[in-house]
Amino acid sequence: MRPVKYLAAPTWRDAINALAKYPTAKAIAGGSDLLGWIKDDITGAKEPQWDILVDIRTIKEGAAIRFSRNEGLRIGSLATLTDLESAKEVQENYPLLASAVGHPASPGIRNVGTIGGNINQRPRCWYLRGAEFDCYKKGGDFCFAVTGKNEYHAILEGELCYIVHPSDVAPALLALDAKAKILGPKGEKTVPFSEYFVGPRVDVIRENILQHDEVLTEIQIPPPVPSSKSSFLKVTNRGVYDFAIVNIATWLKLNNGSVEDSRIVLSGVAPTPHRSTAAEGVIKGKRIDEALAKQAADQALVRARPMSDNAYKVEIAKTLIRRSLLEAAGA
Amino acid sequence: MAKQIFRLKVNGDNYEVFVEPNRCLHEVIRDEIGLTGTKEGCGTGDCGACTLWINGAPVTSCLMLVGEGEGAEVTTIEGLARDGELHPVQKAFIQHGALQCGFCIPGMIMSAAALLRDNPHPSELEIRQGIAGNLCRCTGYTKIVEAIEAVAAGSR
Amino acid sequence: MTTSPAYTAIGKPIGQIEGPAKVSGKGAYTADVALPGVLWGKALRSPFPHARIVSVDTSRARALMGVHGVITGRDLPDVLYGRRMRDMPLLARDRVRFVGEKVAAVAAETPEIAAEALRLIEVEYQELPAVFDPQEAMGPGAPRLHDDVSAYPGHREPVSDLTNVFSVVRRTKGDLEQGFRESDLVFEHTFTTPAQHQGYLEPHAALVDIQQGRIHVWVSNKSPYAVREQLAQVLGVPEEQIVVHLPHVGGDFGGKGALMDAPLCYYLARASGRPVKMVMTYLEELMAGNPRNTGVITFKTGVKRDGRLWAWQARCVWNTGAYGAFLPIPTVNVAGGMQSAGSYRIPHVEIESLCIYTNCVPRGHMRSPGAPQVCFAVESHVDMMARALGMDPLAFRLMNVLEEGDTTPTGEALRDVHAKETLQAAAAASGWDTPKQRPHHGRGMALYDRHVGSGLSTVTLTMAEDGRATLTTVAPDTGTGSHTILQQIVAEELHLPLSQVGVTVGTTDAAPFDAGVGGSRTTHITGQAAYRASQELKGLLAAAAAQVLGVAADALRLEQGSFVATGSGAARSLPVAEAARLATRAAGGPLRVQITHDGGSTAGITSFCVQVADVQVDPETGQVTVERIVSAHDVGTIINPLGHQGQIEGGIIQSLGFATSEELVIEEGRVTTLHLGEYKLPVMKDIPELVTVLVQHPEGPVPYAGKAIGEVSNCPVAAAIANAVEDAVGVRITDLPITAEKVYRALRAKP
Repeated sequence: MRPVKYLAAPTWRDAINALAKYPTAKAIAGGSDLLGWIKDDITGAKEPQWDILVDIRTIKEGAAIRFSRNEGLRIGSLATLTDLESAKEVQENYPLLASAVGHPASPGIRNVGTIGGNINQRPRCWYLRGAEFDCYKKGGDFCFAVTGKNEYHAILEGELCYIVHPSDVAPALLALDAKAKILGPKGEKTVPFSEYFVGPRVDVIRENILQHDEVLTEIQIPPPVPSSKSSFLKVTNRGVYDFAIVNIATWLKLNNGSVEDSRIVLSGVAPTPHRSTAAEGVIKGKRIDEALAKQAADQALVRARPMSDNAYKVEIAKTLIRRSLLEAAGA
Repeated sequence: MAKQIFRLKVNGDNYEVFVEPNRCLHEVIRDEIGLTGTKEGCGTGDCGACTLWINGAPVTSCLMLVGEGEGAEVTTIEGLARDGELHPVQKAFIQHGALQCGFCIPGMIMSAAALLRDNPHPSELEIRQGIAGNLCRCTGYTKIVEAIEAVAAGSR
Repeated sequence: MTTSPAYTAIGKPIGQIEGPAKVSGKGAYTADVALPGVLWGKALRSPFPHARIVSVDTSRARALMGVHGVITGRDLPDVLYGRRMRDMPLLARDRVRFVGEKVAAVAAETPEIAAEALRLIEVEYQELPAVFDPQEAMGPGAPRLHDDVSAYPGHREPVSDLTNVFSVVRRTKGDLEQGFRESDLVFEHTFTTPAQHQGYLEPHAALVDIQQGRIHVWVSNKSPYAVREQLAQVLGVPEEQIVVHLPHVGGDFGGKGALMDAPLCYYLARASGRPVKMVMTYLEELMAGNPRNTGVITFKTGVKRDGRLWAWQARCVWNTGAYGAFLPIPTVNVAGGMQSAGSYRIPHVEIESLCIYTNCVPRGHMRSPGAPQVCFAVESHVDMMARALGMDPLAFRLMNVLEEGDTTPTGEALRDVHAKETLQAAAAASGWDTPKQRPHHGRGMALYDRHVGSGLSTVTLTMAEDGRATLTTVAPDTGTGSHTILQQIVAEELHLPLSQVGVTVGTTDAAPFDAGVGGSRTTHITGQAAYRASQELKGLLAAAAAQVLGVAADALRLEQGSFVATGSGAARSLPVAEAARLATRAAGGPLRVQITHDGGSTAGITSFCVQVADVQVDPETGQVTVERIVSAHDVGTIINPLGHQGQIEGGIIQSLGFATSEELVIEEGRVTTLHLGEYKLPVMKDIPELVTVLVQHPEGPVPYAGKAIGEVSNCPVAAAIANAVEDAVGVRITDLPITAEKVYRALRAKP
């Protein structure tokens, strides 16, 4: 691994100051993504050699998990995925989140991997992760997936770059209408996760709105909605310990068995977590059954533009939407 | 690159190491402290051979900087046996043929021992998910599951 | 079980003798060996698949604090390396031929400083036209990777006229043309298989220490004497100057037979005056290890209308990458190519196996080299023909499979053939004839047979005054449990408890020669050496006992731990331990025997394996779930059922990966699956139900009448799964691995 300087930040403010001061500093919160990235020497015109690591796990209050009936759930971005999976307030009130945080990687990685890190991790595209490929995301001028092997790449919203968002947690947060609390030199702001992720059309270099000197400090989830139902499903190549080919978080609010409101969010299909308003439109006001679920699934993928090797993902996405709707609705 | 002092507590013993801050925790434990039971397979968190415990929780130490280990109770495979007596999981792995080349085994056992400590009677599925992050290329896993099940049955 | 109840140690599920060392973390693998003052070496690798090296500037690297040695191809003697054919430079001199080829190496105080030094080395390359596809590489206009193969020591005669083809092996039987004329139907199919990495979790490591004129080497390698010989060759020193030490080996699967970085450690140790250790990263392993050959396997097969196989033409085209250096067999070819007509009775056969240079990572050996590739092709082809003929794949195989008295497609006579019995056992255990439970559930079968390996092995057996026996071997245990088997054999023959038998591992100074591990030989030849050494030691003990008991040594029998005088008169006996005390006292020290066993020819003895896979296919997404694999084996006496079963299960799961998830993706010569996250070895949750059936006959050259098991169960898996997929959803996948994407595409293309 290349030389790095290690700074332990006692407070969020210290972290921000360090990041603002050094253009090649990067916040590290467990490191299960970042250290692999650095070990692989991934650099480019727009991808600096990170050589100052600002450890934010040392920020004591950063991992707190708090719940109240009125305010909902407040998760410090440094809470580990294991912390969340085993937290009673999460299990009891947010089964969708409890399920989603149990899916990434392995127990050994979830024990150090934080929710903030999972949300902000970099994509797994093998061209992006291969030091030899100078792609758009690193400041190059080519997407190797277009002409190369793209069986895991985007089927929706690809443009210039065809990465897929790798997080299992992000779609659950969108489905739960969560917000991100962001701290920067100018202060704090709260942004809904529906506006947090950015695709290549907006900025091909980044996957979210965080500026270099900003950090995600807290995840806020509204209080649980009575008579809401949910489902989290993930399809992987291997049984476990694998990134999603497609995953889906579905949240439904039912009224006398009919869908009053819903949020259906997929990852692994597009450069950002993909909320399918098309599918939501199909089910609104209706009772979910096999036929409706199929119709929603088909509608969700109407705009899919698969690449040379990944048309199968369209069918996997449809199947998951169908199964997820049926599972959530208990139909 | 300037070396820094890091204080580690490994298997109950305190160490002060003077190393570059870009060293990963498993490297320091292996090369500086001399406990080589913790292996490096992939170095990228994809195989689990470097699994050790941080405050009792199994983690892939190849994805931790040495600085991240400060202030924690680190337990390696060398710290699992008590008074010269192998841990029941260690014994079961031998008895059930759950090891072949043995390279994945320290990490595998650290994961298995933590699983059984937290969940003494796991289902087969819970075992397969609980040890998901530890790859073994020799055994085909069947005998590993059998060994863990045997320990669970023995403590019933 | 036909294991004799009289055995005390043989046939028992004994845990590995190395178990306590391995589970406690105390057992040392090469990377764990610590020497004072050791430096860390690292290699700079080519980013281009084919390029001329214009210049290498190492001045900045040399100036870096903490760097103690920097070498380039120009600093080394102009020698070439190879396990058989020597065609590979230790460091590229003028030209690089694959992405990942080593061009320079450094030794430094820490791995981090070494890595930093590599970044300071400036290499100017001039790119050359490259070729990646083996079929293209054979064409007349293809870039030529090596100017003159015939100049390489150890090359295969005659050199082919085809561009980049460095080894061709042909076998014929009968008259192929006549066979096709006499056939009623002819089938032609082509199959392709990807590069598979051995996936051992211990990356290659080497450590060299030069002490008082001797070169001490620790290396993750399965054959220490081959290391010594090959190292002596490239370093230009006498073999006796080299001592190879044997740490534990963290998995081999055929991939740990080459020197890898050991020669560079030597030159860096010489340059720096300190011991040097090099440990490959897993990224380097995946980029530039020595993975399984990529195969393009084509058949043209003629059959009689009733289903009899009549004429079979097979052509295996192996993408062997940029060098042939990692291929050890005399033909510098891929042995599995010779099995590309399967285990069938066929009057007219022609087999051709070609190895081709391309600008890709050089290929080496992996568990039953070539066989999983050809078995996938052969057994898929057989199923396709059976279906086309409207025959049950089992019936088709029963009709054509080899029987006692038949000759194999390459003309050898087999003995003790249990193919049909094994087929029937697998069919019975899998419920072959029972209806499938759900839609899109499929069942597929495949068949394979493999020889028992042979070679030379040397062991030394000593017995101390306290009656404790110690066997010294220089064949490493790569994880198979071979040392435990040696312990069991000695315990059995000398009537000792296992705790009284130790197995130690010697350096290459400990014996004149040993073939090392590989080719399904160890239990056979090292086992026989241990058996014979035990017999000889028993003779020494009997002689001592005979003196005391006042009888001739040949009148003594070893019974329940004591020498018993037979014949008339009162039974008199002497415990082995007492005999040991007397014999060692008389000899003035421990008893010692050394045996070199030559396994001789094992031609004609094989073991059959039939597997049946049950799969569930999602017809919408193409996802395949392997639910069960039944594996039936024709076996002899099993010395250690734990180890034996471990070989069966481990082999199946390695090939579950080969069949469904593992592909070393190489694009324009660049490996893109550079982590174990992308190169997907099976994980614990992927494991289907495994059912083993043993068809047991005590026969074979292994001690106590046994056969080999290590390289069998991994061969039929992929074809059994491919055949089951066709059974489930009617599509045929001819290109491994069988991914959801391929099945989906085939389903869409289905008329």
